[in-house]
Amino acid sequence: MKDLSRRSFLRAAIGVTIVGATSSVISLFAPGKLKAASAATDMQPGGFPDGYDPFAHLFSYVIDLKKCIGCGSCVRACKKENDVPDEFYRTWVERYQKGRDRPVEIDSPDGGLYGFPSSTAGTEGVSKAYYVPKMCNHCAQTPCVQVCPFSATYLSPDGLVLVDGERCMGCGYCVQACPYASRFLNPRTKTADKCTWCYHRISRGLRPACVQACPTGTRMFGDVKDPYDPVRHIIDTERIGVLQPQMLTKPKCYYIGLDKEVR
Amino acid sequence: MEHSKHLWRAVLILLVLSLGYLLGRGLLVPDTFGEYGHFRGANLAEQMNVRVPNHGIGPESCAPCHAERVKNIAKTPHRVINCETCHGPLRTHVDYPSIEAFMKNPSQFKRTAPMEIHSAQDLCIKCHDAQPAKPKGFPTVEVVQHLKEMGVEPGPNVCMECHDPHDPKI
Ligand code: SF4
Ligand code: SF4
Ligand code: SF4
Repeated sequence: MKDLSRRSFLRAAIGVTIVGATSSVISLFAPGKLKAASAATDMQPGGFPDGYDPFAHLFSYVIDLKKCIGCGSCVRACKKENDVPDEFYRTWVERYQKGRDRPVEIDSPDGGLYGFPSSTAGTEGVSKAYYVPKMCNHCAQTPCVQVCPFSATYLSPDGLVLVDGERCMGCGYCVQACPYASRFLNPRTKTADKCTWCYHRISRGLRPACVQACPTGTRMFGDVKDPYDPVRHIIDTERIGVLQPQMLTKPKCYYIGLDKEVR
Repeated sequence: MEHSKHLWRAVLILLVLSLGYLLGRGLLVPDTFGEYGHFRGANLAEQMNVRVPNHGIGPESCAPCHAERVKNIAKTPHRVINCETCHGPLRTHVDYPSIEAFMKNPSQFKRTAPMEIHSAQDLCIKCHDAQPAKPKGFPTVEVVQHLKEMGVEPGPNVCMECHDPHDPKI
């Protein structure tokens, strides 16, 4: 009796294994076809926009923390430009508050989408406070690209880290691998999603939506292959930092006025 | 030459294996894979065309119809703010098939809906509410106290009673 049940269990287990292996082989052959409708709803026709050569640029981003007022305009612009699903963020803003006798407090209500609540209560003893906008750092040594089993996420010639929605299987390895929590699985497309520095804009000579919406000049975007670019000038001449340098990911988002508490 | 049979058999097996490899590779690797690097090259163009930009190019995209506004705000401290920061993306107001077409001749496109207008509560306060984290020198007010001092009842559009967002006059 006992033996029989074991045999039927083994048989079932083998069956499941075979079915699983077959379906994963099928999905290997036709990765895109198993996917639900792709993310793009508003596709523009065509190849590269006129006059755009991805090999002629190398983009970088500078965030001047001394200027940020935590208004959240950048988060709102990103949501509207990129149709980011509710409760997910491609860019978000954090607030850091600390004092000699107070531990660091970090909050980011709704990613800063609606700004930050007034702080008239509960800020006694805060001696240092600031906002930190965050997003994908478009790392040059990316853990997210290294772990992708399908080469779905990659480093583009112009320095961006992008996700190919047709090849992405939504396994989530890259979401786990990113030390900055920049990625999420899009519940609509079931693929990895994150900031693209508005690739559909910058390849047409426009600025990313967050940079354009920022009223204080906190966010700056530029091309370090252009010798007259102001962002390249800042990177070359000012004291800048990157998030979690110990991770050796070589981010291309640089921060002016970064504090040791920011991680 | 009885033993050459083994040789042919080995050659045949090798042939079948390499054909199988080539066939499998052809099926598994997308056409444009490796064109620019270790990824499907066609995705670069797909990403560039993933959607029509919703935000315009800055106040320049509003000026063809709202020249006076754009000119006047340029004389105020609020000149640093892009129109769409407060009003929302241009494409909810004017429909254009591509940003290239829009940039070539903005005024040829029809207005499709009124532009978003936020209430003061939704907007002014997000920048000008006094908080410890605001940079020094940035103009802020303790909203509750300020309203009390000015003798104004709190309400959704209360800031606009004294300040015009297009010419704030502090
Ligand atoms: S910030 Fe994260 S998602 Fe962006 S490139 Fe770096 S590791 Fe990848
Ligand atoms: S979820 Fe990330 S790691 Fe997994 S296939 Fe998609 S891009 Fe690659
Ligand atoms: S729009 Fe600019 S100032 Fe406002 S929160 Fe974003 S980065 Fe900071």
